[in-house]
Amino acid sequence: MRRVLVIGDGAREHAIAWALERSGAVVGALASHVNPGLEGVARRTGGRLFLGKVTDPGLAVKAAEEFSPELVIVGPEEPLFSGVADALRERGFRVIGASKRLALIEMRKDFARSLQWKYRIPGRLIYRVFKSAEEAREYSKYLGAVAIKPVRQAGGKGVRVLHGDVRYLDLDDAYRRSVEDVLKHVLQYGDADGAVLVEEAVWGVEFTIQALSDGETLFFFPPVQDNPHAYEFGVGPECGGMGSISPLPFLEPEEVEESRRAVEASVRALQSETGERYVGVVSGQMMLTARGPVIIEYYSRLGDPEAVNALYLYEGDAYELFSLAADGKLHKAEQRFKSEFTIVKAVAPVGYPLKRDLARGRRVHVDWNAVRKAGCLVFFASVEERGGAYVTLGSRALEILAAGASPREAYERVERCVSAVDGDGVFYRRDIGSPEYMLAMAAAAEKARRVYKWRRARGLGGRVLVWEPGAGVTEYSL
Amino acid sequence: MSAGLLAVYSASGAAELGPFVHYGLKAMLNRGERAEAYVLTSSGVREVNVRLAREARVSARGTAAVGCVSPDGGCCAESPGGVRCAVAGSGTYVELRRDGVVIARRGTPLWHLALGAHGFDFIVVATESAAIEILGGSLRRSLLPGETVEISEMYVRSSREDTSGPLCALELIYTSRPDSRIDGVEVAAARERAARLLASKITFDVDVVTGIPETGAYYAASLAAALGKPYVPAFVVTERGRSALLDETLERVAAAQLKAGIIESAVRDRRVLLVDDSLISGMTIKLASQLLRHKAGALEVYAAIAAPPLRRRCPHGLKMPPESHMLFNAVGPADAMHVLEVDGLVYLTPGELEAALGETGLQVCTLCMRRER
Repeated sequence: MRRVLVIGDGAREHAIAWALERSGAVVGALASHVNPGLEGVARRTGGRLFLGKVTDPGLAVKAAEEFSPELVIVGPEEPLFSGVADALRERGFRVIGASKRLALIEMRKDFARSLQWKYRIPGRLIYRVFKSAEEAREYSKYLGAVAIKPVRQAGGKGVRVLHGDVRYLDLDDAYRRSVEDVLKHVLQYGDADGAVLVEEAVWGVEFTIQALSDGETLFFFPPVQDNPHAYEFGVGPECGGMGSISPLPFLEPEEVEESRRAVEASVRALQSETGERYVGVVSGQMMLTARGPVIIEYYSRLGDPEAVNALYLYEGDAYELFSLAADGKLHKAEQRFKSEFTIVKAVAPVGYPLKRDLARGRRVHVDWNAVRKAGCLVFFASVEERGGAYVTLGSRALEILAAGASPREAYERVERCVSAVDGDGVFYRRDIGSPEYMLAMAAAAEKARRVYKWRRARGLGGRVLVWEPGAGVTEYSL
Repeated sequence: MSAGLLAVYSASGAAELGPFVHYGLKAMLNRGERAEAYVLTSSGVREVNVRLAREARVSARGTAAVGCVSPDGGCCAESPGGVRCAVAGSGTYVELRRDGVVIARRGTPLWHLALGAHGFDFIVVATESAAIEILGGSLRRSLLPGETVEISEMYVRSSREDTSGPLCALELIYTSRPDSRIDGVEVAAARERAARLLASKITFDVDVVTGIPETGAYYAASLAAALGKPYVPAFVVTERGRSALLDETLERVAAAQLKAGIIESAVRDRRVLLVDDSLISGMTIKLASQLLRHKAGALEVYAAIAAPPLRRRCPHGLKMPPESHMLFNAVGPADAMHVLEVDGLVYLTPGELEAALGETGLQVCTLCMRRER
């Protein structure tokens, strides 16, 4: 029998469970709250919902021992960082999820960057790691436009981009505040030195390449684009992601292929470095730039909401796919995807992401008839069902997927479905996937494309020298 | 000239907004040198003493700030909700409310507002999209005509009344920074179209092309390229500043004090095409022409003007000199060249300007360049 335990409690995990239900699996889940989506799948398939802290390896083992699954799928990154996949494997479970050491590729940005340079993985950025704001500031003066990031993944928090004009602007105060914020953030976790990474800032179009890895072969999903700004028009604070689209008509097939090769090379490098097989999901957060595709960062899991697009588009049997990955037989997986365009939109409570206390306890209603009529799928995230309504717990409430033959058709459909959701204070981003959005992305991609193609054809720009007065010149070969 | 409006919103709580206000307004000095600004602190809305001429900047710690630059000052005023900085009489404004909300409204297609983000931390609204880029941000888009954007800690909302109509031609041809974008069109690209059409109308034989600093420089370079003649930056500016759309007194002072040095070897013994973007009283052209001949030894001086000469005051309320101070209301086209002391004069007609700028997809208002009725 196909029995699967899913660890995690967001819309991504609901989407995984949804896909497994379609392939006839009995689905159990370990979640920190009663996600109505996971609960529904568990109920319908004869599975079970375990409640508890998803980052606790002991609890995960206990749930697995009670549920006796053939396969365990770990959704979010934090359980991977805390060794949930390792603990389960030690007890003999088949697991989709990177080990703690392999998941370092997401958790430690300094580790990921050093791996890229050591193994000469294409699409790498010039970077350096610092222990103090002062040192970081000094270096960034000579690097040009920079991004400052915590060396430890912190749920997207603490990333600051300061463009080259910063010197002219002399935003010293803002800069120092950024670095100090980042340091503070990293220290909270207690598993990384207080350190920040300064790297080149690049411009272009971002996209995510998601893949399943069995330790030998990578199985790629269609490219997805996420939208991390919380508010309309792509402004405002960074959040988990307010919506995603897939596939991406503004990318050329060769660009997707080049990005996939870069992710593949990264996994090979990671395996050589650690001596472990990577069995789980790996994703490259890419950007198409004037240098071609570059890797901004890695995920050791599916993105959220990107997972929703990917799992919907996969036309094969999801259980079979995950199972082949766990057995090292991904080369046998069916490469079938729907030829549809998908848009996912997150609906979040007002207050998210900065005022979580205000974002809690808001009631959300879904007009299911309208959703069904329009033909959308709803995936639950940070809500619980109480008295016929969904009550928010502080993070994104739900994610709505619509598909269509064209971006415009999917957009019109998703907008109809989002309007079937209301409540006392929720918001979403109307702009994601709109015709104007698609045009703007195509224009930005074309701008970057013309430059990198031109420069590659002429062999320009491969050598960069970073000169720090007094300290000397460092040569980088890109 | 329409005021330059600025709003900065800190998405992650109170921050030092002083540099944003200072450089955001400074990036719009092309719209006037009188700056004013307000910041919302924990104790309420406070005026910021902006002094753009100085490097020393004031502190403006708070969650949001608004400000503006204009030729004469007075573009910000108290409003029922807080303080509002506006393009006079247009319904286009940025407002800082005491409850922490920032409102940006483009009341009319005539005048522009752009929305952008500086990373995840700051949201910026500015008349000049270039000001957003200068602040290290990136442009998201222009507000649509009739659109109101409300920015708060917990949401950004947009609403819109349907309105349509043309953009002020002066914004494209004269007022805006060439590196700004208006409704998706880069201002310099629009100017390039006008310059190309103007080049096709030039029949004089010239040796070099130069422009009135800085307003005519971009047109001069484009014209030179179209004509296949060298562009020479013959003027060296001592003080930056705009003269054309100020009131009459200020205008004369500014014209008399072009404060430009001239590079003799660039123009001596040559026939010079002198280029500017607009013509009101013509005093700047006249002065430049005199300098070119008398001080620097140019043999002949011709003038090419991108926009049609101004003929009437803006019916939409944009501040302009009186009609009696517009040269083309005083003398006919044939005599104008003698007033300007040039050997030939060429400019686009309102219809030609509309057609040239129309190639970018933007429809423009040229009422101030046409005789009434």
